[in-house]
Amino acid sequence: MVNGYSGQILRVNLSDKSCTPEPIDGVKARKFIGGAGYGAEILYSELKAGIDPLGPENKLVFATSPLTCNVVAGGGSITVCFKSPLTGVWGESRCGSNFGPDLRRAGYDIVIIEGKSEAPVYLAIVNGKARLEDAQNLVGKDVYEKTDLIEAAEAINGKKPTVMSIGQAGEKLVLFASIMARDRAAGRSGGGAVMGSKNLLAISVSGTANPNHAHAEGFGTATREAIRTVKNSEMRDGFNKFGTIGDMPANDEDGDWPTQNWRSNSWGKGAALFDEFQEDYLVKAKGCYSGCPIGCARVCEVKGGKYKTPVHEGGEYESISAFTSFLLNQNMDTAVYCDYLCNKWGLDTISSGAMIAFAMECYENGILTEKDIDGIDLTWGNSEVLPVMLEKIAFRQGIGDILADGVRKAARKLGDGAEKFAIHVKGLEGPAHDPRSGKVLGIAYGTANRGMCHIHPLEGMAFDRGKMHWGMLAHGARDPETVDRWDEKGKGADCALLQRALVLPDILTTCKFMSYAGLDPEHWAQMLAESTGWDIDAEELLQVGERVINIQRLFNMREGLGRKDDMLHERVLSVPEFGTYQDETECVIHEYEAMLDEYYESCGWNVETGMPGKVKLQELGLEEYLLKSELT
Amino acid sequence: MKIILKINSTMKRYFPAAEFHLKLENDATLSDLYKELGFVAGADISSAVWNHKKNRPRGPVFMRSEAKVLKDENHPLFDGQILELKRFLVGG
Repeated sequence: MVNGYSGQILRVNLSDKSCTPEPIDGVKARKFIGGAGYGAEILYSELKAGIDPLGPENKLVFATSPLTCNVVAGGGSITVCFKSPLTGVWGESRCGSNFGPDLRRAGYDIVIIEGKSEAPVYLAIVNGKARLEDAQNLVGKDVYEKTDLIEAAEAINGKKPTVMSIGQAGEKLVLFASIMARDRAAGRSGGGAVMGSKNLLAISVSGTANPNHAHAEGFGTATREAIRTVKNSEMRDGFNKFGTIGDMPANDEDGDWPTQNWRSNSWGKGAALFDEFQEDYLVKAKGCYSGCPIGCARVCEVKGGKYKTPVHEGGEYESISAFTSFLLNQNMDTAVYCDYLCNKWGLDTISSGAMIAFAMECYENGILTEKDIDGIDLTWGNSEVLPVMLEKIAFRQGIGDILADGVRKAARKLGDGAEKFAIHVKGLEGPAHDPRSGKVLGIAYGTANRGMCHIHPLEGMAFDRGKMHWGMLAHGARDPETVDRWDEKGKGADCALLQRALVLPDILTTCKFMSYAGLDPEHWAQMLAESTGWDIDAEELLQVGERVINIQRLFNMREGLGRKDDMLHERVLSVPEFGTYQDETECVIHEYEAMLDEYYESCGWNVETGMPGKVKLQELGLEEYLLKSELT
Repeated sequence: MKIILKINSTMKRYFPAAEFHLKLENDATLSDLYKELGFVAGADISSAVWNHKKNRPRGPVFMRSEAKVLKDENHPLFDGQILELKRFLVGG
């Protein structure tokens, strides 16, 4: 038994319907902790290179950490890891909700899903006991319907379980389908399609156990101090009062708002759209799990008309940007409605908006004609077609069947130069932040193991533009106040160092915004030490971060990736075609390859191949994984 | 009364000056300060952080003084007070 952990991994083999508890490995726990760390170790060790992500050989790992507790700031989270069907490489996605803490109360730190069920099922875990239930009645139902039905079926003495499920998009194997905890999403990388491929429609958890923290009193003191730090943070007020969408006006102004499929990094509409959302759509703020000290989630609705929605959680910056600036759509009704549809059908909002933007540009350039798209007018800004296109994607109807495979595969299928309009890294569509606003983000996009991601592990623009350092000045980071956002020299090294800190919430399965609101590596180390009884400090924790980035990198290298796959799309490296920065050559990354060299050198990786070096792997205690790998 | 308004580092690019010396009535409040700032510099402040119609900050922009955020617009100001306008949020 390892203190702080529930102590058990649940291995569910859908092929033979077995549910087998296994003990948490104490050595691996110390080396990889949990979340995207322990999950990476499992997938690297148990998956063979080259497997089909939608085949029974792929595995889904739902992972927590000792800090997955409602009393920990940001502890209401779960991380899902898998080989991504969208990218063919490392896939992970975090979801805020009570699912993570409830899984631990049910007696498990990690659930490994493997094999494939012959018929649709859902998994129910109640106080250490797991069973697979027939789910034929859930087939074709949306996320809300599935959740309601399972909550009713699995309630104990009126107490509902917490449910994560896929929508129709997951059942249809849309490669960017999400796994939903009602309105909250493990959205990126296509975990929903992996779940759908296994005929697993949902997981329900409930329990009453409490993890055994090594120093209960010290843990209580450390967690209360962390909550106090967050609550006293002015950043907390910003997140709570305005949500992530509060960044929209300034991102637009600063060139951090990809517009019209990345033709520009600004649009000039951000302030007006933000005001409109605040005044006409926002209902209230809330936390995405019980006990959140920030509460950045937005409860919103379209109050009437053709696009009326129920009151729901939505209106995140990324989602609204995906359905406005990506598409030149100024109609907020349709943006909020499309966000809601993505929740309902289980689609990643970012990839969904990006796919429609890609389709609009293909239409503009004659690669897609009205005949190809059932007479739909895919002119930029045509808001009417957005829900129609979403439905086609979610249910793989017509052109939606091609778009449902993500921008990289869709471009290959369409041909005719469509790849010019397919903005991605490693197959993951770009989100709503633009490296033409600050150069660290460019390297972060290129090197993030799951692809073109703004937040796993590092939001580079928060350093370059927001002047945030997340407590890393004490660990060698440059003071961002002394750094010009458009400088290139030093940014590769900045990125490498900061990634080690910002990957920690992914490993600890905590919300990253707690780090923005004042929790530094010392806070995380203190809470972890009190929970586990380990003599662990911030330096060791940062080394865990580096170790996890490296094992995920090894996972990708084993799949054949290398330096060539860390490049950015030419359009992202070009002067914007219009907007505030159209004459601003300084905003463009001029020497991306040199920044990448610097990044690799800072990581201890081979500059030519991008392969982690043997010395670095030995330093991180990963040499055995190199030997296990199929690399030569 | 006279007050000094300083624009915090990340906010400077949105304002025409990094510091404003403003004259207000003796019983002025935060609301009066916003009104005066709008009059003096409003047109030159970026709409990214300033709502020109309402003469108020837009989004997560807060006024700080003496290490505290002033949340109430009726908060009374005092002669010689130094205030700082700061933006809180870059993420998501």
